Amino acid sequence: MVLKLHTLLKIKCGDFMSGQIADYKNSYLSGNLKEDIAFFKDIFKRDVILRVKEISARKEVPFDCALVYMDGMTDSEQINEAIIRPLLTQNVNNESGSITDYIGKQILFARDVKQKEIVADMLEGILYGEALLLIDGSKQALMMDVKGFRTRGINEPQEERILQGPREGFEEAALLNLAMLRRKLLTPDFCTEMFRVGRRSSTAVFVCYLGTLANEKILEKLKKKIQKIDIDGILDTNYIIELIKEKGSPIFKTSGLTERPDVVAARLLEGRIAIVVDGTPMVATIPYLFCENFQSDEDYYQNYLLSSAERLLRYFCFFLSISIPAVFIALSTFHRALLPTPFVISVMQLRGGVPFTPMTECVVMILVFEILKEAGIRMSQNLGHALSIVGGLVVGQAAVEARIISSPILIIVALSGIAGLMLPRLKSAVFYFRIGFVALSSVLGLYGYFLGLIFLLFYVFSLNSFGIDYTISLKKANIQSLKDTLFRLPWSYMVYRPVFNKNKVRKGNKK
Amino acid sequence: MKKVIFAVLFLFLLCGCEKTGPEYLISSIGFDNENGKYNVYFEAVIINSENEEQTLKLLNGKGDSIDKAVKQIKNSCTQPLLLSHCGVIVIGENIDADQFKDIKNYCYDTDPITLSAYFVKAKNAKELLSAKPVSSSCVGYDIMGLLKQNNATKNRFFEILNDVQNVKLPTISVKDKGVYFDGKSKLFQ
Repeated sequence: MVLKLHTLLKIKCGDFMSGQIADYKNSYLSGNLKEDIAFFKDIFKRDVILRVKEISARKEVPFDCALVYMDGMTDSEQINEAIIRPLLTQNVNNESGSITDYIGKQILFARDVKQKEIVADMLEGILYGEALLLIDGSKQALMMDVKGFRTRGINEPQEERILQGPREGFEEAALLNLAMLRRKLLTPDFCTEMFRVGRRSSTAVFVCYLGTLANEKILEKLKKKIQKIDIDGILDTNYIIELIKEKGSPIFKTSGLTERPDVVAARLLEGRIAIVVDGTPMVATIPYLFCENFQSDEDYYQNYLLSSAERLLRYFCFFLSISIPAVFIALSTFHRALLPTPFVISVMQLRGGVPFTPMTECVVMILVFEILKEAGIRMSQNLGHALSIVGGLVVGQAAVEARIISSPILIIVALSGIAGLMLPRLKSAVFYFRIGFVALSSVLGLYGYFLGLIFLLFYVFSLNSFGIDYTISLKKANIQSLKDTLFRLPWSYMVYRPVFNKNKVRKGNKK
Repeated sequence: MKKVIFAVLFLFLLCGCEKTGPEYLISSIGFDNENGKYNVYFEAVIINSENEEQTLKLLNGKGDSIDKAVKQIKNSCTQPLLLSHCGVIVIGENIDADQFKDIKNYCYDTDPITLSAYFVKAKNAKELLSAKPVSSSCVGYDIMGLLKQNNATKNRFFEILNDVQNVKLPTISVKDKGVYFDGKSKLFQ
């Protein structure tokens, strides 16, 4: 019989079974409990965590049913108390009407019960931690929300630590993340839309926004792009970001990524749209502007004068980080006349005996710095001290003493590297532009450096994030445009939201 | 396009190493006239690595033209000469107006020599540049210090460039304990 059903299914779905839920879009239950159980067992024949519990309720109106669920994805206490116990103990006296409807509405204690007809919908539910109740004689089944998978718990994000302000961070369960956002935005205007993305992972992707603030054009564009994604699986938000990214911006980020609910809530309040992906704590926000690279979550939780000074320092550090090795190479190789004589003598003395050109030294040191940085991130914390000693002593002191590198280059690269650490969101841009500027200035001197700088400006000003100019807030030189860019003005001056908003007035004049 | 990018990247591999050795920083240049020929002197500060002392060397070249004399100096050195920090140009007393014109043109055309170099006059450029430095690492910078002490700093190249006939240059002489400032006098009496 199973074989017959499967053959029938193949005829319905086409001979080609791709292993996706979509294969069962046109499949329906037979109404015969034994056949339907066999059908589900056949689908999950190589999956040992599928559980099927057959229940025979011998009541006034006797019926047989079967509960299908994934072990570990569901809460067993809820299954026992909200489904199995009422089915076995509650009296069923429905003689007319649909038995499925009656059980769903009057017998089960489960918090969310839905009737399903299409097998694809049932599979989607089972795989997302819901329980399916098949009832003998009914072509409809009941889906109960009994999700109960274990999660990591709410912790402070390690990469976005702050001294003042909220300390909670997102975790891997998307629904919990949405609840955390909802807790910060107690308004019916907070909208969430769900998409299933990934042929095989069928990952839940939620698009969140505030209905009266979000730009509809951007929202539609985003939804279309998400619907168009055709990939095996989505395991992190970055998959979505890369797949929806517009051309021309491989170096600079055009979507924000954060693990902090307060940051996402703040961005939603500015009319941005958030993308929450199930299975990852990273939440993306769009559109993303250039100035956001220099903003810190803490800027808004501390004195605005301090925040403004720190923000200016970040801009300066970006400039310093990409420029200082290139300028040093240009000056020490091509334009020595521009340096004071004692400084030139000192540099010449310190470089004496080093067999490499300043450019080679610089590129090698930048790579060594990146290797040490990457190793420091990947290795366990216990080995961190060992790495600092090896990195500091071997690469620093020993290499200088052995005349492999010169101390001015070491100082310059270290300064540039430390300045770059202030801008974690710009790390790829800093790395590529630093190397690019070094290459240009070692060939063309200061002319090359300025050529690179002009290219950087043109490049940044040509970018856009979902149709919004990447540097839109820097294009108008007035206080309202610059209020949250180069510096952070007090909240009393934050009258308007960013320009891409539907509803621009942020702050009222309530007295 | 990819081939071009790879070709450019491979070019960088060719510039990985450079010759090691002491570098020659020219602190001052002197010009003398010897029977109608140019005698050019470069006072070179030889910079070794940080553990070794700096040494001084007076490089000399002789020729019908300045270029020939300078070429002779360059040929005698294994390392390139760093002229951009040349602070003083010493003109010997026996240099005539035509020769000074040549010197001026040479200094102007030689890109690394800056327009901010001081022009001074001496009885004999060789004698002056062979003196023992007292207050700094070389005679050239001793002369610069002397000019600043005596407020005689209005003799930079760009200041005298257009008025050679009337310009008064500081005269520097050599005595027992180094170089001395002897006042200002016209370049051509």
